[in-house]
Amino acid sequence: MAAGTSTPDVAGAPSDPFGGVSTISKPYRAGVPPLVPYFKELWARRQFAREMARSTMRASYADTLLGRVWDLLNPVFTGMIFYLLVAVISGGLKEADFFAWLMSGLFVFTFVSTAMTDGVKSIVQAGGIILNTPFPKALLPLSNIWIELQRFLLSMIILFGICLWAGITPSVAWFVAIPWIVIITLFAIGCSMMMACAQVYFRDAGQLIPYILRLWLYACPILWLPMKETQFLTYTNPLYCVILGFDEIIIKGQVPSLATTGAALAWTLAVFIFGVWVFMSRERDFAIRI
Amino acid sequence: MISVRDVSITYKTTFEKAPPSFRKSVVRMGRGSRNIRLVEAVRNVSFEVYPGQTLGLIGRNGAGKSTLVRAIAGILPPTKGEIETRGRMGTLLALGVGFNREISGRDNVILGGLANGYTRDEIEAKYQEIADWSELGDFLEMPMRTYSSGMFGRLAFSVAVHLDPDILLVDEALSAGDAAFREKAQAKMENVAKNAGAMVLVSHGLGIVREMCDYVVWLEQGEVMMAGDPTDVIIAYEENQGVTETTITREDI
Repeated sequence: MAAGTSTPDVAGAPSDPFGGVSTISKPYRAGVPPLVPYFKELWARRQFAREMARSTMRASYADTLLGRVWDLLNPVFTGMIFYLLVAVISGGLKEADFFAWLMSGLFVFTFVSTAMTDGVKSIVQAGGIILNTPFPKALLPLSNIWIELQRFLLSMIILFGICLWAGITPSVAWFVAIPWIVIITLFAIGCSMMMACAQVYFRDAGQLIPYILRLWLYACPILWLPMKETQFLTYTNPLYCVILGFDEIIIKGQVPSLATTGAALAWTLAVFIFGVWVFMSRERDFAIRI
Repeated sequence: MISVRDVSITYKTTFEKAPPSFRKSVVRMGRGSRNIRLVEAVRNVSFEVYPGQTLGLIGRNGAGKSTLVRAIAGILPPTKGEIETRGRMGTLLALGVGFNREISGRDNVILGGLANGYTRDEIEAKYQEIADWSELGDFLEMPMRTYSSGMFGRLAFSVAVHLDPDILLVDEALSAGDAAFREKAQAKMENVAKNAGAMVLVSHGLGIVREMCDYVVWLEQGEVMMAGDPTDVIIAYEENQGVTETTITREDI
């Protein structure tokens, strides 16, 4: 069965246990596979992405003592390290709600950054299955996103605890976090697909990424609070408003302003659409390049 | 059923003899160019394979056989022309068995099946059969990096044939196995072909091609050199190659 290239139509006898499938593969128009069948196939094989995520996770904790407990410990440790860093630089411990601010931004950033570092590997390391099986390759980065999303949601439990400890009262506005997490996820998908594709063509991408991410972290309102002077980042840093909006919801307990929401949405859609388009238009090449 | 209509496949690839040195990389970046070569792997090829038929693809290394089979599988869409297939496909391709080495054989069987569009229940239902036929025993629960290449091949073959494919694509996939396995595999392939499946067999083992195929296509630099009755095509091919049938050409699948 041709993934993305095919127009499946059921033509088999009903007695056939697997159902007959007919496919026609033709050259792509404008380099992109036909969209509707592509997304149909993608949806039909969502189980694959889930199973892939499960077995990848199992393999990644295979030789550890604590196993999935690391999903909880990792964000806590990273948060503490950065808190220490900020405390040292600013010469003194900050208030508790700054710690909550730092953590909430950091969790969002970690979701996006791990989506990128895992995305880089998702196609190049998949190897055999890409060479041997026709399926929408977008399933591979998506299965990584599925893992990262689960970890992100786990870290939300920790964030909840930190907020209570920091004396932040739960607010009705917190429900806005749910659609906001959808925005963050779309953003992460776009980034992950871009990186997955970039790595196929330029293996240098994987080398560059740690530096880019470090720089990006400093350009986000995580280790510092937004001021008038940092507003230009709305237009230059795609993640700025995405993180700012999330902080406003969680820490300040208010629905983000229209400007913040608009900018976050615009950037997210741009990143998502660009990432998915780049990935799909290059997908045919993956079987040749890796 | 497989119908290949006037198919051409070209692709660009970077062409590097060795990993570039630091100096070369800098120079190349300055020029803003990478060594890119256009490969015309398959040119204007047409043929049909009907249910119950087995087609043999022969030709030298680099003649475009594997590329063509990957196009039939739907992995690499053609640049020109179209390929129509009817039925579920089982693929067994030389360039990479679809497995992740870090996870267990069992997980790989399930993942491979899911990627191929089977449901979990369908795979679970066939799992025991796949496991038994592969004779891997406890190894199935171990990461596949612990497998020998023969074990890889056995599992891949078992998955490909046991999911009841209507079309079976086999590309040089059996050369890693031992004699007993090859015999078993050949019998299984004949069985699939008998059950009204269409099969494409890429092989340098001319003996097995003659034995199993109803029709043979000889590819040379991406073009069809000759097509027709296995015996005729194979004789012509051997004459062209300057080899006569020996145990070497006979044995390898």
